[in-house]
Amino acid sequence: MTSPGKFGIGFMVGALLAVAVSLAWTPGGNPPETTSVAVTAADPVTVVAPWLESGEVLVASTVILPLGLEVEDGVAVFDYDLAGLSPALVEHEDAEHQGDVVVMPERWMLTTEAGVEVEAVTSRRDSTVRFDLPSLDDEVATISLIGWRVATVFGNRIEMPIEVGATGSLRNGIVSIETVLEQRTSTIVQLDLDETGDDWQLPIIRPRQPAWRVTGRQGGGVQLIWDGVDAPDTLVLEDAGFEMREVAGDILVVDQRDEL
Amino acid sequence: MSNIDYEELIRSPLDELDSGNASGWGLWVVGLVAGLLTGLLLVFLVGGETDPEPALVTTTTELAVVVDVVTPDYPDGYIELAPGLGAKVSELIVDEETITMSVNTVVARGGDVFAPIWPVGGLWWLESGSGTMVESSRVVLGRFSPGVFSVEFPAAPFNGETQFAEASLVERWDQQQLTGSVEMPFLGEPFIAPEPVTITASQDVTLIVPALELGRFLGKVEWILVGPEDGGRVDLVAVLLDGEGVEVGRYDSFPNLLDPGDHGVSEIISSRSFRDTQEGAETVVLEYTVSVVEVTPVAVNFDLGAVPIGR
Repeated sequence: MTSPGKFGIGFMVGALLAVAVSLAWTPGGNPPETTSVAVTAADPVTVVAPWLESGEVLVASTVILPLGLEVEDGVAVFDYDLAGLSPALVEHEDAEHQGDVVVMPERWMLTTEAGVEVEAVTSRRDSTVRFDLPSLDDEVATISLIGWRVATVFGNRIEMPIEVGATGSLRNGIVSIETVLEQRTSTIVQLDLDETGDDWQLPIIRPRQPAWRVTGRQGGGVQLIWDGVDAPDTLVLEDAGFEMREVAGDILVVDQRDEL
Repeated sequence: MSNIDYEELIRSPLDELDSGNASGWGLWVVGLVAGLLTGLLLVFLVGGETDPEPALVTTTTELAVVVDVVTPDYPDGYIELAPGLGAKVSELIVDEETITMSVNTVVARGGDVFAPIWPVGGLWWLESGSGTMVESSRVVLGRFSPGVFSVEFPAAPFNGETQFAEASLVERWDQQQLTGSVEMPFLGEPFIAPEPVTITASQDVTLIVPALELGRFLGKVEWILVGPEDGGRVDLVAVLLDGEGVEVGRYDSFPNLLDPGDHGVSEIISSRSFRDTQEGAETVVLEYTVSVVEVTPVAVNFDLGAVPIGR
């Protein structure tokens, strides 16, 4: 080996030693540390998506769809639509129809910016609620639904002798036999319904004995025919109508407090 | 030739180290020292440009946040009663003879609200606050059903108690639907089927139509169901076709929601009134839908603690 080779090897070895020693020892006296980070998978965050679009309000199985609020000359008019989430037997022609509406708004409460409360009432067929504000310059803070109706079926069973004048009690009225017409091969019975309920009740009479056929409904009356000569002595009916039962609550429908 | 010793001229002093004597390794030592010094200098210089703090190697891993967006099948408070159908008890109405539990239903998000079959019938238990348990006497269907139905319980066993803890559906009336049609010649107005029609709806279910009458506006059809242990519901539609198979008349029955049974009579109504007569009709097609009830044991519990009690 030549002299320059020996010098070069010594130089290289020295340099490497210096670097190695420097890495193995620091001026602070502590050996270099490597933190061992334990990585664990983070638990997923569960977010429950809202069932409805913003602004829509769910009342049992029916959705209130706010359409608009106009305040003019001391009158606040709130327009809304209803969309049902319930299953339906018959497809409606309205393509927007979601399902059967079985819950209907009735009692509303408007609160003005000044804190004055104004009540209003809607019926089964309404889609607008109108509030008379205390003064012309009142502004609407909130509108809440404080009462609604939920459809309920009872299916009350009524038994009555098949004779003119016989009566039976319904939940919301009386059914009576007006005519009995015995023919050679059939019997016709005409029933009259005297309803005592309001717009939130509707009796619908149907025979429980399957051999009776309903052949007409007119003016609150029902006509039944029994085909054959063996008509029974007792007529068994069922009220398949509905009664919209009142429910009290407090559901915020419109909130304009941030805009005031 | 010149006497100049060229080899001497080109000889480096370092060549002396290579002469094989011990002093030649001195250069190696010199090189080692020089290398050490240079290395330390380099380390110092490089180290001086970096953080003088003790080397602490830290690995930071940013974890991506996993967000599960859950869309509930039903609105708050609704419990799945059957696949695709949620239910909520809206009220308990107590009178002297009967306790009526009113239930309203919703279709699961994205479901078909017009699906033809909804299993809203079944056997329920009602448990009072004191632990009295009573079996339902029947399920009531009517206007707004199946969006609304009621379950009746006898009131007497509760002995006037009006606090109720829980209602449970223990047997659900699921339904298997069998559909099909049969054809027969149109024999003249009004059409009266000359003999009972027997239809094999499935291996175990036979539908017999003892009477079929089609007037100009109204029709009547009787049916008997043979086979199903727990009965069923039957919907029948009669269609009149002309000689080329074109529909000239149709009689629909209102969807049948009455209690399932093994026989019945349905009034069917012409949905397309004939102007004068049923002229042109040559074939009667009787389309049937038999919903065979199958009792399925289930355990669907409804907490009644917050359900209002009415009269």
